[in-house]
Amino acid sequence: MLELKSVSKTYPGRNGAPVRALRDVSLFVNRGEFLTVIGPSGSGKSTLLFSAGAMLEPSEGSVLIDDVDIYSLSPGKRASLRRKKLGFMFQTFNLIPYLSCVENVAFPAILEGRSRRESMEKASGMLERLGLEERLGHRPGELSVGERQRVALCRSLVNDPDMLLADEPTGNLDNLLTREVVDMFRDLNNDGLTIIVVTHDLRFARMSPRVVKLLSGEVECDHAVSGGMMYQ
Amino acid sequence: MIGLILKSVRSRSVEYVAAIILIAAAAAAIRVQQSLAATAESQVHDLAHQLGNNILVLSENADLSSYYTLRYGDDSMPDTYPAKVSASAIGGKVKGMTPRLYGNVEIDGRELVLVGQKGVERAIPRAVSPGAIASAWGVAAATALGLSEGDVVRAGGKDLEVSLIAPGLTGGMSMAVFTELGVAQDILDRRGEINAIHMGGCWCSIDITTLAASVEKVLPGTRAITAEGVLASQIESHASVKRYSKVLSVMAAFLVAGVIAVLISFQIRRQIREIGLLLAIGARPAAVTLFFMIVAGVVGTLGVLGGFYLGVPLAARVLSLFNGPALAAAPGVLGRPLLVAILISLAAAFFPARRAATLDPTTVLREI
Repeated sequence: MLELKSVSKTYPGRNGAPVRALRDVSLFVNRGEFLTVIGPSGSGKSTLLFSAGAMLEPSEGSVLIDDVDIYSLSPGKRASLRRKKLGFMFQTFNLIPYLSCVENVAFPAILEGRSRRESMEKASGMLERLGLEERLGHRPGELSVGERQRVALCRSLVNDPDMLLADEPTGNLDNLLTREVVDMFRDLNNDGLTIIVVTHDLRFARMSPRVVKLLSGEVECDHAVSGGMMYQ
Repeated sequence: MIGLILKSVRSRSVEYVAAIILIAAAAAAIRVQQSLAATAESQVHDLAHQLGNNILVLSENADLSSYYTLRYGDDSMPDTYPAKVSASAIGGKVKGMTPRLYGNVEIDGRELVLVGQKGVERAIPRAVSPGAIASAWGVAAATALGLSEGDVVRAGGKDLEVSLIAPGLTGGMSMAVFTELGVAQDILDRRGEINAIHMGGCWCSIDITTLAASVEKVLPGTRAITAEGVLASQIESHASVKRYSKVLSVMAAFLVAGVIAVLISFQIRRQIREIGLLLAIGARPAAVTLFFMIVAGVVGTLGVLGGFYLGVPLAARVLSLFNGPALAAAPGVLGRPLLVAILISLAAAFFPARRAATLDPTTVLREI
């Protein structure tokens, strides 16, 4: 499904000295796998996620999705791949403020070429399943943090992606909401969705069957744990 | 995409409306300038007509200074000359000819100017006194002789009735008496003669110098006097107005381009997270470019439409408040300025829009 081959990423530093966010990272993620990437702030977690998500070209190495080197594709084809195969959840949700909840969720489907009506119907159904039936016409600014989180999740899933990439999905949530999100992710994974979560929240690590720990841009450890109980 | 554009624009309507107003103001300025140019052109056209009416054909022996001081000599030309002009190649360009015989006569001891004009009898009331001939008098002439309308005076063996005292005869002509050409020829004893032809027509679209030369060629022994210099200066003045109009158009084009470029650049900065998001969730870079190009095109179109249709009425209203000149309708149709504005808008928006489309979504989302 996803393969990172000796991926390194270097950013130009502010004082001219390059900053190496990723160093020779290699990973293979199978279809249907649930991978949690943990590590301290600045360890390269988000860089890894965005490189895997066809959004950030590595300085060295290659990223393959279904055996296709995604950074050899044109920007347009890469956009198409993101639209069709990948779903993203951002830490700050990044909902479009002037669109309603249902429009936010339907938008990627419309971009994909589905009719507005079909997209809106699908978006409404997804939001209703997550208990947001009363909020369909509301704008993001009128929602609570937890509701926005669910809207963002629906948006990431509206095109039935093969893989969900989530950056700190519980970063802004309290314990109760975190539990909800963790449960939702587990259910999605149980339905066959490949999930990669970048987080510093160890509750994900506890329920995740595979945990990769990054430190200073390098994979410090990569554990597949039966039952996901390693980080207790 | 259209829905997203509409909602995006609506959410920032103040900025877009301000941009539309700026562009409309530029378009309106051009339209008002075009209207002023059209007004000036109309005035030049009118002047050309007036000057055309004053094209004067005299005998080549005529002394111009004497002519203008109303002292007429015995120079003349045949009274068949107007027919000759009509029958010639230039006849079609001459809309009207007034052959006249001017002479100095003494009536009741006062020296007056007698003007015989073909067809003048149609412009003045008929004589009511038996045997009298109708005539129109300048106010000064009538006053000098103590005459009122209906009075009859004797001149050169003819009874002239004061059929009309015409205040419209001004300057030297206030001391003139107008009557039929044949009567004047009899009084002045110059049968078959005229000494001036006033030609009328629209000279504004033809080469007046060439026309005058043609007249002299058709009418041997004459010279055609034109006010070409005056007309030329008016036409040059109008050409200057048109040049200013072009300069203004170029400035307006730069203004439109500047407004659009600043607007789109500003909106891109404001919407940078949305752009990053669109790219991240799979919007094609071309779609992002198209998004801003459509917005720019719509803003440019609305601005030009507003300026085109509202500029002249608003300017006319303002001018009327200050008793200014009436504005002629600006010439031209909407198509060309609209097309130019759309092209300028698209060109101005293209580079910022293209830059937006090539943004790195991860950088603009500031997630790293």
